[in-house]
Amino acid sequence: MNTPLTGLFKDYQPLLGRYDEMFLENGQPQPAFYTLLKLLDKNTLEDFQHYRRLADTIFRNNGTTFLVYKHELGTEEIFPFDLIPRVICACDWRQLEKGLLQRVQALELFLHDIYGEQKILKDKIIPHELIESSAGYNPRMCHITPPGGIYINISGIDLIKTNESEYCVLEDNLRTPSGVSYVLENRLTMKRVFPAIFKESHIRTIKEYPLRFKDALTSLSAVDNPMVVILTPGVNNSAFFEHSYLARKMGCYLVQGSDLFVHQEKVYVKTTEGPKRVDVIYRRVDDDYIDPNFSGNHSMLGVPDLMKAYIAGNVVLANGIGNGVADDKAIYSFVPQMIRYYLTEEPILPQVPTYLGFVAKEKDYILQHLDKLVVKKVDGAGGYGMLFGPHATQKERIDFAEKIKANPRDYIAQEVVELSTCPTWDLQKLAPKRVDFRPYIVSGKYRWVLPGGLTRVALAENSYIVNSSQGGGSKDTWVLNDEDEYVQGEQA
Amino acid sequence: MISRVAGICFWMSRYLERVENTIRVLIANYTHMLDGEPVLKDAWWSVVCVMGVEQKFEALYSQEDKNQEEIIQHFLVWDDNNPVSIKNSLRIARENAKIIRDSINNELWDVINRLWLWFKSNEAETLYTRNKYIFCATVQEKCQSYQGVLHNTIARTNPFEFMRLGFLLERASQTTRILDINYHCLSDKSAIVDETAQEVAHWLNLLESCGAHEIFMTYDHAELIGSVIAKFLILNETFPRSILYCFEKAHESLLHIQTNAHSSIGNNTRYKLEKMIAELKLKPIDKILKSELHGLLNEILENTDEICETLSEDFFDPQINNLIFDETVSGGQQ
Repeated sequence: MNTPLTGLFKDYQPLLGRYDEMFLENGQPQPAFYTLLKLLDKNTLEDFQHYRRLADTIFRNNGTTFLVYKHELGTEEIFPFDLIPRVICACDWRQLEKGLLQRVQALELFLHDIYGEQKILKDKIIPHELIESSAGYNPRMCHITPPGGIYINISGIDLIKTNESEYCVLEDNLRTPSGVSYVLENRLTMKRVFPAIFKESHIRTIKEYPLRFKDALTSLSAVDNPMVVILTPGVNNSAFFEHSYLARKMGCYLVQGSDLFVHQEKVYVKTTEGPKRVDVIYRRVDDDYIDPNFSGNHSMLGVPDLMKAYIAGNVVLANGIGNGVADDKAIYSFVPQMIRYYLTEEPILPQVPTYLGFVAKEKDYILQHLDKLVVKKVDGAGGYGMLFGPHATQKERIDFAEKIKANPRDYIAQEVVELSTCPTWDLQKLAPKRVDFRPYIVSGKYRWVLPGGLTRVALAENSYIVNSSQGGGSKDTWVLNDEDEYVQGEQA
Repeated sequence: MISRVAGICFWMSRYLERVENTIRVLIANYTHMLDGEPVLKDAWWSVVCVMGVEQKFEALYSQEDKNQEEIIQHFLVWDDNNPVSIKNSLRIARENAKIIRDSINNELWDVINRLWLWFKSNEAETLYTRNKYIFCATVQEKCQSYQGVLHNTIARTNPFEFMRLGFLLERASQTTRILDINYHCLSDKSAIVDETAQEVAHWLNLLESCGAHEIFMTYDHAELIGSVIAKFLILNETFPRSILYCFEKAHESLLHIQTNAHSSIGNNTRYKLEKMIAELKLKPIDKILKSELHGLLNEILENTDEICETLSEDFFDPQINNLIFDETVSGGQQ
């Protein structure tokens, strides 16, 4: 009944035995996306080459870059962008949204509990040694309610899709999840490159993100019209573009540590009109660097005595201090229990079975199966400090085994999970490449999921690594609208 | 606005103004050198002096290289070792723009970023080799789009005023240096009254460097005599590149900054600027001797530097213990 695709997708063939999000195993388009694929298919490969150059120019002129430290000096590079979108239908999205809200709510309750009464430890749901040995756990934050009352203002939950029906959580990012600026810029580029497709599809808008986020931050302050600032480590940080981008879109000051100072437990920013009081700080500086007088390190990135102001309740920090304990990759394995414990609900989103170096038996299993497992550092990020067993050399595995034996608590391992693929430009044609997905959840007075997110794609042949620092690229993520989708936020 | 950001606005604008000035001097010199008249001594070397990088050049190149126009031009345009080469100035301006993207608008960032990306491109390199004049004219045009976007799209709030201060004070310094070096080039005479054909060509070149040739000719008593030209470039109150004009407009910007903030911060800078303007207006430039002119120009340069330093103390890098606390000030955005 449907006419075959004869343009861009003419020769596209999904990988054998892998779930492809856009095409069936027999090479036919997924029925839900047929109309949309047909629109994209109107382009020839030559048109597509032309669009790619157009997109590159847009990114470069816009300065949408991140810093890569290949040599001593960082060089600015474009985050490689793939023009074929990743599409999520309305019904999948509804389910995903529910699952994300549930998960973040449980993690938020967990942080309140851990830095409060620690009921979950007393009830022996999570071993207390696991918490106490977590690098992200900060005992000095116990019995301190974060000003504003929320730990996780912004989170990014990394997901993969293993088959048709399920998104599966790979890890939680509850400290300073990055990437949302690429999501917004990718969309803008797509609109410029494929205006006709947007006109005919019903793709949910993501434009409101900066406003939603600012509202969430503002809602946390007791002050009327509070001063909200974004604290960046500076122009040499790899995500500086994002910090600057958000400051512009949210209409708030972008500050560095040296711009702020604390006077009588209150925070001020130095301005040309004299000092001004700061009420909320969206900080992109890690816990350890945010206040040299608190952490005892001599970093210039932070603000001396900022923690005094925080503890006195005079400034809101987003995200809260001490969140690392909740996105520790070993504690991740207990999130389903948290959901049952705090919410008395069954987890909506499944997650990947995980072996903990912390548990002696599981450690042995990890060491015996290094060639089959993916091993990660519990507080690692950006694809650094991990071992992808099946692709590693014998020497790499031996070296890694030593590290695990030396600090078993620091490592977890997971079976290799197959990632779904999406059609992606590869040299001269479209080829199936593996993708993951990071949606963003904003919490203020309400909790809200951005209808979209960062789809990262492993561009290299047969690769599973999607991190931007390791040869990954990104795609725009289109969440399709349907008629009865008006409910946009749920009570936090 | 944030103190540090005010400083970056100021410097970004200064660097771009420096690029435009260097380009103007280069263009004037290219054209000048093509006339059949014997050229005044060290015509290209004097450009190095205008930029104040003689020592840097001498450290990197040999004595003979001072007569090699290709080498000097390359030094001024491309050399990474020259802190004020066009390339370095553009790089720093663009880096600054990147830091303060949240305080300027997208169009202004875009025009600076494009200028930098173009400058680094093969197209620019090829153009430089093929036709230096067109290369310079292209850079100049792009610098002027910066000025155009700045004036036509940026709100008249503090970021604008600090950018304006940046280019005005830089421009005043550059006009001062151009004038000083050109006097320096001329054969020694007790008074600055001299009108050989060679020197007339030289004066025209000087006016050209300041973009003032045609405007100058429309003024009354516009004789191509050193003293008249000097008076025009120092004291004219209507020409946007004259020294007095730059200072008066800088003063205007300072007043705006203080009014916007309802604050006395910046008084130190303002007093210094007012004193300098008052003194400058009293100078009998047309009667001044050549030897005295050099002293006067030097004094202007030193005062300008001092004003920039005070500006920095007042606004860009305030000491916390000097800050005035106003507990009623809270909230509100930039």
